[in-house]
Amino acid sequence: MPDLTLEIAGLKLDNPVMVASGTFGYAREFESYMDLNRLGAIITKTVTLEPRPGNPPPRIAETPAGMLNSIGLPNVGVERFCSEKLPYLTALSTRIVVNVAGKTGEDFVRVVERLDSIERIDAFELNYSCPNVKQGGLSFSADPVLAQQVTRAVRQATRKPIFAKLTPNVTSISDIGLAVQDGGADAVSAINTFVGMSIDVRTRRPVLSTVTGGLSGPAIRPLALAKVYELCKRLDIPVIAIGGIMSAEDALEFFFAGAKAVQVGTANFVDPDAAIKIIDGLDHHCRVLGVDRFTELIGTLDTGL
Amino acid sequence: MHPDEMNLKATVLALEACARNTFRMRLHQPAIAGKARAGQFVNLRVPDCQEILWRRPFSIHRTDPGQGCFDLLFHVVGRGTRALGRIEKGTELDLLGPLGNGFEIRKTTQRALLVAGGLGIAPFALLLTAMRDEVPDIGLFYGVESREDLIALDEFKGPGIRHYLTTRDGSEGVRGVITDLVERELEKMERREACELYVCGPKAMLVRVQELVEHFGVRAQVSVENTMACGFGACMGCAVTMAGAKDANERYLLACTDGPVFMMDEIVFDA
Repeated sequence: MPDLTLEIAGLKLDNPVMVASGTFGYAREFESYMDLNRLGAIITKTVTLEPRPGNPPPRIAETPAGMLNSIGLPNVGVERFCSEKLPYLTALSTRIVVNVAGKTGEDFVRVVERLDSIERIDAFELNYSCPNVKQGGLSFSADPVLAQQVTRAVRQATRKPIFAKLTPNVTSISDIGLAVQDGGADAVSAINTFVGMSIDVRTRRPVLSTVTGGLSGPAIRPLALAKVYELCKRLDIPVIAIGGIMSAEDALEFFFAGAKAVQVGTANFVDPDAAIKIIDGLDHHCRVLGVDRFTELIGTLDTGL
Repeated sequence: MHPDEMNLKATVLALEACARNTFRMRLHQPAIAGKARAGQFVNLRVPDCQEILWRRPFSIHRTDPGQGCFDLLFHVVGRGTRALGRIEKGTELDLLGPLGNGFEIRKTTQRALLVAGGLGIAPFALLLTAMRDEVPDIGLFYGVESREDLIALDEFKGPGIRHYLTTRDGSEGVRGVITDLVERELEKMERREACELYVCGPKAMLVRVQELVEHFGVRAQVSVENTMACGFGACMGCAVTMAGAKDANERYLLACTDGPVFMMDEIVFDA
């Protein structure tokens, strides 16, 4: 039986398939559809210091092979996250990664400080890059100096692994990647959604209440793959790939490009047990390719150059 | 719940045009047929087409637990429903369900007015089946554009069930909109506290019914339709605005898991 285990940023995973923040709620939403403990890791919906209602409807729109969203990070805030959501998560045996966002660097630090003493939280993912939140998010990920400052501040607040989640909506994603690497990030999660827009031609109005939103799904996979490839070439820390992964074959593209792990996002909406099928599919591909350890496949792209 | 109990396969037994631009699909899926409650829905995957990303949510129209099958009604409105309208008999479809909360039938309800606009009729066949032995006096108020849009109502007939029909063009029933008949009914009604409305239809109709129930002080349950990426509370895309939320940070409900049936005074229909 192929060995799918790996260690990433000091974190031991049973397999390299995680579920992406904002696509998996707080896991309980999926308990009727799978054995949650089979997942490599669960990354929670974003937690902020204060509760947030999220954006007004309409929040989503379907696009060719993809979707736009402008959900706006609705969440109950870190205190109620601890009392209402965390007990369920910590009773699971898989790795739990809490995704954190804030309007300021200090917000990030305060949320991480509040959660740091909870042993069952295995790592933090810093959501620098949500395109749908006013005065927040994006600026941290679009500016290497800011991104590095926030990463460094969070680094001083925790010894748990930190994943920095990057936006693709920049000229050079690897410049930002290098900045957070220098700031002390243990890995980067790449990529978040592309800024996109859709108009209802009958009403001449934008489909989303916020006019623009984030594009995800298979439509962005080739774009994501190019960003991940760029990051893998320039960074020393591991890259956790995200971007329209619907199948094990899609995931393999990212592993061949050098990603150490993947996150399944939009696929969870359409096929609630997509991540489990991808884990089973990777196992199958390892057998077919005759590799004992899955990690042997990472970065084995043959460019012919 | 046991994993995979809601992630099911269903076989298309029949697909037929039943009104203008409208299909009735019969699916064999005994678990859904056995346990679905009126107002619940299923989320159907369009097969073999990654370009159509999302599933499509449909109200469960009626069930036949003995045969292990159930029916859906749908309009062809876009590429998803166009593809579903072309599906061959015998095709196996992926579906999630039954999803959502469904209508509540209260013991104290003596009169029920079912108010349907257009394809809003869909959940009421199952609701009528569930309530005909519980509620002594049932009025079915059904409004459509024109007679070609009518879904056959024969199966909805029975003792204690009165029918009211409007078409906008006057080609069948009373010319006008159904909310005018509902208004007249509520005006002359005594003991409104024993009456409950069940409502499903286009937004303009819902807005008008909301005004009426507020004016006459009657209880009303409404089934809403919304765009959904998942149907089970994960995407948070199908937000519905809550009326008079005490906490500004909790001003949205989800159509999929908090609904699709809400108390009429619980929500706001956004512009």
